[in-house]
Amino acid sequence: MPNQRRSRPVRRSSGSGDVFIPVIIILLGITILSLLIAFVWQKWQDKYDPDYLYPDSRPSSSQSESSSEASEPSSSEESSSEPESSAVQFGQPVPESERVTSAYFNDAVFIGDSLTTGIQLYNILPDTTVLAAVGVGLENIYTQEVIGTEDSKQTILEAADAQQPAKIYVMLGINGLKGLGADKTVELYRDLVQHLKETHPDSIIYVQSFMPINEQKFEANYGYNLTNAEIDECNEKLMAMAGEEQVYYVDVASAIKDETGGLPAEFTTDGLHFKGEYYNKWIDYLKEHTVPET
Amino acid sequence: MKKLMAAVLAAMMVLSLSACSSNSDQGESSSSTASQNSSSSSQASEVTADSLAQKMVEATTFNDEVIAISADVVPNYYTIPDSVEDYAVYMCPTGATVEEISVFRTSDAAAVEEMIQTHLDARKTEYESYRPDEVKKLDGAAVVKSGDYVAVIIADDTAAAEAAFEAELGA
Repeated sequence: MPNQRRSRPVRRSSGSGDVFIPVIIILLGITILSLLIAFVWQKWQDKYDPDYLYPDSRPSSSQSESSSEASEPSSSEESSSEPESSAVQFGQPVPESERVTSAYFNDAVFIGDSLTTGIQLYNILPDTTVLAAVGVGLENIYTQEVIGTEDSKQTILEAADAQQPAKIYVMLGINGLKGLGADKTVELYRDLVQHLKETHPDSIIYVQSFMPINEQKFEANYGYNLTNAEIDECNEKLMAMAGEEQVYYVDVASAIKDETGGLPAEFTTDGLHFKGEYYNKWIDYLKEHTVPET
Repeated sequence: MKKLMAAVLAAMMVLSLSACSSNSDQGESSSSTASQNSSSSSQASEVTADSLAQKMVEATTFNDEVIAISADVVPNYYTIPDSVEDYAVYMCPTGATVEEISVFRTSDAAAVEEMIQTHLDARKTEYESYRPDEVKKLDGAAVVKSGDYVAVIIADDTAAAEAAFEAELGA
């Protein structure tokens, strides 16, 4: 039965329809391609802050000690959940953790000597607070007025007292290490840590390992012999002291050491200080070794 | 149907445009300059404190390296007087040496020279017990001026930078 119903005009504009669809497909392809390129570009720019690569949930404990309670439930919680005490231990290096961004250091203070001034001079963490100066050590940190402008200088600890940072990172004492020896160095370090605990009871304190050196260049520039073995030995004692004082120890040296356990010659002028690329390694390591904020 | 297609096409174009918009400015580049002169975009004919400093840096052989120090960090080393209109500070960031080339454009050269001297004295105090060899560079630092520009050069050999300074300013 022929059923010509005018109310249903079937338009078969075949010509333009056939051309249209391939055009759509091409344009769709171009859009997807440009979105992909934009995605890759942003990923490349965020090279040091790829937090989107990691899921929101905390990864299960890196020291998997077959404690099932540490895996499933905590991975579904927000990252500000209770700390997994089995993962982070005093007297051991802070284990690898979910990478944080530079913003983690906005409420941090870095206390140190000339090595730490590089964090400021390289502007690697523009929004953190660096309280450091050339020539500061474990003995004169209490008296050397090195922070501030020409008109108003304070000691590092005075400047630190003026704020309540959530985290304090310390790296100090390599300059005096040979002269004082490891034991005395660690005792002076303990004094400093105790002082910081008193003045900043709510801050997370990170004691950073001493960095490796290039032994040949160091001796040529500083006129005495210091070895990476001596530095490593001191680091072991430093870590034990941090454990006793219940502060955290981060093994930043492991990010810098080459296969010989030292600092490669091409990245240091004097065997002790290192160039920008190694500051990136240092800060990357810190970003990947944090403890939960309570 | 065609209207729908047109709308879909328009939406796809908008999407791809927004995807291409640049990410937030990380600004973690260590070569961010301290220059306050935003109008110049390194035109060959126009001299700025930063372009001048760069020429002087390029001419010089350093033991270590120098980089442009961020304007946020410069106050730790120089208290810049108001008479300075433009400046660029290039220092060794590793801490190993005191090498530096800094250029200031100012209407008050005397104030800048005084500021530079204060800075040299402070650096000497820092390094004399730490790396005494570096004090030689500070004692041998060159302070040069031409027109509105005053510059300080701290390096083993300052001659090349001095020559570049004069060449750029046609002194």
